[in-house]
Amino acid sequence: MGYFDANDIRARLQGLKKLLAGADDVSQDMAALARSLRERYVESEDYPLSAALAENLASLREIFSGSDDIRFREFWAASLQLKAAVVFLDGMTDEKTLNEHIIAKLTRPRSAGPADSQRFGLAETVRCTIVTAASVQTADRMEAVVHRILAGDTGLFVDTLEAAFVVATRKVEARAVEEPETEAEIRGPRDGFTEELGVNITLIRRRVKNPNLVVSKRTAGVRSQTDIAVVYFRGIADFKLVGEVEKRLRKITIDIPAPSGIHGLFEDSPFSIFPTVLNTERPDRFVAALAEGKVGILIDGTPFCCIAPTTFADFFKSGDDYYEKWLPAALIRFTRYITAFFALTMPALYVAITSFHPGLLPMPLTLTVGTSREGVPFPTFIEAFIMEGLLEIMQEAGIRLPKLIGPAVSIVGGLVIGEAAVRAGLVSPPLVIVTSFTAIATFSLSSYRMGLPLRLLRVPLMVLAAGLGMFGVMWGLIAIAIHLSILESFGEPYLAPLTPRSSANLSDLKDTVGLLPATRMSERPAYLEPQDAVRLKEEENTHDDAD
Amino acid sequence: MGKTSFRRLLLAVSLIALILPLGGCWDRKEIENRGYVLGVAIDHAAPGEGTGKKEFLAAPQGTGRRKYLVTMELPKFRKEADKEISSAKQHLLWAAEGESMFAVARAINTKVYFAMFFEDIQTMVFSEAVAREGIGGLIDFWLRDAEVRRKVKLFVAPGRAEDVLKADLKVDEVNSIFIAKLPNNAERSPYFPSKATVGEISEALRGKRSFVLPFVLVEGKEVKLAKAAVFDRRQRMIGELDEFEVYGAKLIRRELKQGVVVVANPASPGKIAVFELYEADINVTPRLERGKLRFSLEARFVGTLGETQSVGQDALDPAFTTAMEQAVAAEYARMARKVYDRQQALKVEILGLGKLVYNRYPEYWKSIKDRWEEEIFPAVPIDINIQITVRRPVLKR
Amino acid sequence: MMPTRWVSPLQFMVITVNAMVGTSLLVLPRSVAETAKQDLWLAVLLASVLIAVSFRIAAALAARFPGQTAIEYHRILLGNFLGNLLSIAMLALMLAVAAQLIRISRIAVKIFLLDQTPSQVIVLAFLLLAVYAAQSGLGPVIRVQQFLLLFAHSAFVFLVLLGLLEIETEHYTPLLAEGVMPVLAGSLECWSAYSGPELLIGLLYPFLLRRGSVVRFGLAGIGAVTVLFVLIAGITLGILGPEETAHLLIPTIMAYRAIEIPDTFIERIDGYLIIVWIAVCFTSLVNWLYFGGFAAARLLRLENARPVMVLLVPVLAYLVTAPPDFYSVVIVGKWINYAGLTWGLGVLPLLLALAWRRKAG
Repeated sequence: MGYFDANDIRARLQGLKKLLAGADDVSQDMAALARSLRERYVESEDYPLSAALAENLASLREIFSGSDDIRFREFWAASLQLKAAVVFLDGMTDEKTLNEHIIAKLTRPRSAGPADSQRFGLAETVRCTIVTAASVQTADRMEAVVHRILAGDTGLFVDTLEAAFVVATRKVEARAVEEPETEAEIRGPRDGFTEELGVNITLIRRRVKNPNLVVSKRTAGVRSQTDIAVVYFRGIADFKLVGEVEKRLRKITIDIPAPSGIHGLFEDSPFSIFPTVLNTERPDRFVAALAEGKVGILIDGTPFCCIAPTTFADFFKSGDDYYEKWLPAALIRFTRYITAFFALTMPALYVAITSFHPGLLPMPLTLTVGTSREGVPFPTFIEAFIMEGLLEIMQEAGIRLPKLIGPAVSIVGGLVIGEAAVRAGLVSPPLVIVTSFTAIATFSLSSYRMGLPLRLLRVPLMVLAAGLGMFGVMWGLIAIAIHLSILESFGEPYLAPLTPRSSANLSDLKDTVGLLPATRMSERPAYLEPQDAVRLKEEENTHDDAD
Repeated sequence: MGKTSFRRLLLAVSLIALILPLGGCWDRKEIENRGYVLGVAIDHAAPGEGTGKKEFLAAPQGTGRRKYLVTMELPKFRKEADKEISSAKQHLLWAAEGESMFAVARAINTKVYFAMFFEDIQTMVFSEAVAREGIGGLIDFWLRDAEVRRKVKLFVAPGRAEDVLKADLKVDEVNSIFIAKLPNNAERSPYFPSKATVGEISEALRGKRSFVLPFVLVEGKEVKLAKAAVFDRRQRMIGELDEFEVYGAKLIRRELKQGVVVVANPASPGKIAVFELYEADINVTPRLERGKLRFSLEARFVGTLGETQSVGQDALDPAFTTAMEQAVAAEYARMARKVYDRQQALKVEILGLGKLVYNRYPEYWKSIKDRWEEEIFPAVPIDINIQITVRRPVLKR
Repeated sequence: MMPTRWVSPLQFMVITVNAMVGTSLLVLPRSVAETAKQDLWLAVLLASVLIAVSFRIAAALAARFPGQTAIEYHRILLGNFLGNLLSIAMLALMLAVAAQLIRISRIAVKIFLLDQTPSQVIVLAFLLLAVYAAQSGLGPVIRVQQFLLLFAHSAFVFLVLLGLLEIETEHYTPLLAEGVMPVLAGSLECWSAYSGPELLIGLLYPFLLRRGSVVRFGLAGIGAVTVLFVLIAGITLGILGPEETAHLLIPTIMAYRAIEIPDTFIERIDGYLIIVWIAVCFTSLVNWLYFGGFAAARLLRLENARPVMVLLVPVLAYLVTAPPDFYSVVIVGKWINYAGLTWGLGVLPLLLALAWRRKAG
């Protein structure tokens, strides 16, 4: 008996403990809520521009609250007899321009001041007669000013004026134009795109001095406001294609896109493992694509631009093809197709032939391979699978390792794994040859992005080979062919030039698997339906016909 | 768009997922676990050689006798390191006895873990005794099986066929592979028939034609190809052709391209002169006149003087050249005539003359087709006209 | 379902070529060699003239009804009941061709590549691929054919040409020893090898672009296939000789097995030939499946043909397994040949005559 049953007390205490713990959680949540209320997300649209300078500056202080690299400089504009202020970001602004062309001009008294302001109005006076910077624009919305300040320009506010001036003072530390590292070419130009959009546009404009090269800018990313430029030739590119590209770019609603991966947001068939947008960091390749009637997309923050539409055959082209004589170039390009085929199928073929159809090999080779397989403990498939795994690991290690210890990978990989595994009898020598050949074949592809699906598909093909032999390999290859023929890129079939729509498109094949001399490739690719199909005008062709 | 492509991806993935359990590796067999049969020798089973041994060799068959001893030659897989240690033969021999080739092959499978695999068979040897009994039925299995090549080379061994595979040759190669490569020299040394593959014989079988196979002779540590075994249209061996007759047969069959002929030196008695053929133009035409068939062989051979052994002789002397040409022509004619007469005596025709008659006189051929070898051909005369041009004595006079 | 893409004459040519180059090239020389002997290549050549005539008739018939497929104008010409009956006969013929195609490839794959693997796996693998392609619509169906034509077919032709190394000219003589009749009879035997364009143009005509040049491109396709067939038949004959060709069950493969050049890598062409041929066979199958499903959907007045194509898979799988042995496969092949012959040289001219009378009257 008794009022205080021990069990009861224990239960009550436990309940109390739980309550306390719960309260702790609640208090933490409350603190987080309070913090988030205090530091709420700022939408600059919510702040109107006002005529009072102090109010504008207060708004800006609120918008940029928490950031220490924003600078406010208020001063007495003697030339206007008004208060004024400049707002800019530290480190992104050219302070020389700011000092000499804005602050110095505004603070110097002017005799004819009032007369001017009566003639032009205050805003025009500032823009046209006082500030001497190259680009001065008037902005009447706060978010526009904020956006430009963030890009490195200077916002100029003058009291009593219900607008702001944006003076171009952007000066950003950009990487120098260097040789592209991922797309090495022998005789191609040595410049490559950088991370800076403006520089990239310059690189293109420098190559083509034509007002019909359209560069239309827009932003993507609700929060990041990443600058994007759509570049195309007016009068060449199919307007339906341009419309399609712009429509897709408008649809990007992600907040902060990764510039190098932005193509994933607008390309076709996101689930397919084949890339349907070509990325290049070579301006010459970019311009060549524009000249064919394609549309280029430059993105701020990445040296890799996008080209749309992109077809399967584009991944097998290289700028060098056009800089060399046509026959060697055509043979090299054809070799790339063969290489890609073997990069995809070599291990599968080895598995299928050795464990299903040794009769496909000439008799002496059968005996050689059989002898070398003698004593290897694994079936060919497992053996090949292990080697394939090792290859992938070594490839990844080679990319991630700092350059200084990179050679270690090749020593360990080549010597230890290759040589020692064979000597220990764990792996047969022919398979080491097959694996190395596969790796070399993959490296020799001109496009890294096309190498990835081939690497990925090697494994299912090997599995099919282990199940059904050559029939399985062929089955897999046909399935891949079907998949490729289903894919589309910006409305064009992925296999476009290889599978001509009609006999008129047959001329596209001149620059696909092979290549003809430049004077013989006078048409643009017909599958793009360019507005102007001829590249080489007749009169330039005549001297060629004469000889 | 995204949704449909996802559905397509799902479809593709499920396709692969479906096919994978289906592919259950029924046919998978690692390359080192197959028994690569490189050569087959077919003998009559030897009578009474100790019953214990005999039981061990017998292939289980419900019907049929223990008629043939079939020996199969397989390569021995050895590592590089082992090769240096032992210099023993590189091959393994497995044998079984029975009437059915298939049952024999399966009986050998009970002695080894690597199943017999026929895609790499190079050589097939019949003993003369088996050949005289008929090989048409024996090669049925080797033509019906989906693995065997049509280029398997057939030979006849005068004694036991297994001895050819058992021979300890001085070359460091498997016997069958070595023997199968020997016909590569058939053009330079036309002393044995070269078109003797399973495929060719199958064609002869189907066309009811007679054919020849080369003999393979073993002597100590060497083998050689020489002479020919003549088979009639019932695929039974009925005779032999010696080396000159094979030479002559190749001439009549218009297969002769190279080869040497040794004649007496017309300029210096007791010495020899050798003609080397390098350009041959042979025409054999059948003529049907008043129901009588007649062949005429016109050949123009161009070659060089290969050897004279007579010191001080002027090989550029036109008289010598003319005499030499006549002697060579006579020798060629002799060889052709010899094989032709031999064929007529054997009442078989392996010279491809029937086909020529068919080409020229298809209607006439249809009426005599069935009597060709036995009645018609032995009575058909042949005119042989061979012209030789000795173009130069190569390097010296 | 309306195919969303319009088909250009070039694409029609590709369809024509692929539909024709089916399994028949594996067994074609045998059935023809039985009658035409050493003139079998002449018979194959002659058969192409027959198919060209039949195709011309079918094209003329289709041109009378530019907006309708064969299924609809059968109804217009013969009335609802008879017209549908005729369409069902046509559909049955197409399905039989497809089933025969799979059956022969099953035999070939089983004999030469996968000895122990259950034959259902092979059949299902073929059908899965074809239905995967057919589900994606006419555009991908045509594109995959064009793609394979560029790579697989060219490899195939290269392998076929290697056969020229081994031929013996004496197998071709004497020319026309038995007169012209065996050649004529032999050419009728190879009808089913060429069959295809005369059936497909009736279904495809409403979706064709630039119809003026369609006949030209179709005939060019027939010409290309003729060259290939004459090459294959001629090479097989040249390697094996007439008696052996008529005797072997799959003579083409066996002929290529005989190619072996000492001291080179050229050995076992037959294995590679049959591997590449799997792709060639697939392009043919995908046509028959797609257009079979398309015709069936039209017949049932359905808008969407995709479910019909899926439903055709079990039907085809049944038809493939229906003949119990090789002999019955050969007999079925003969029946398909006669049915195709009746359709191409009997029914089509009749329909054209009806269409003429209808216009005149």
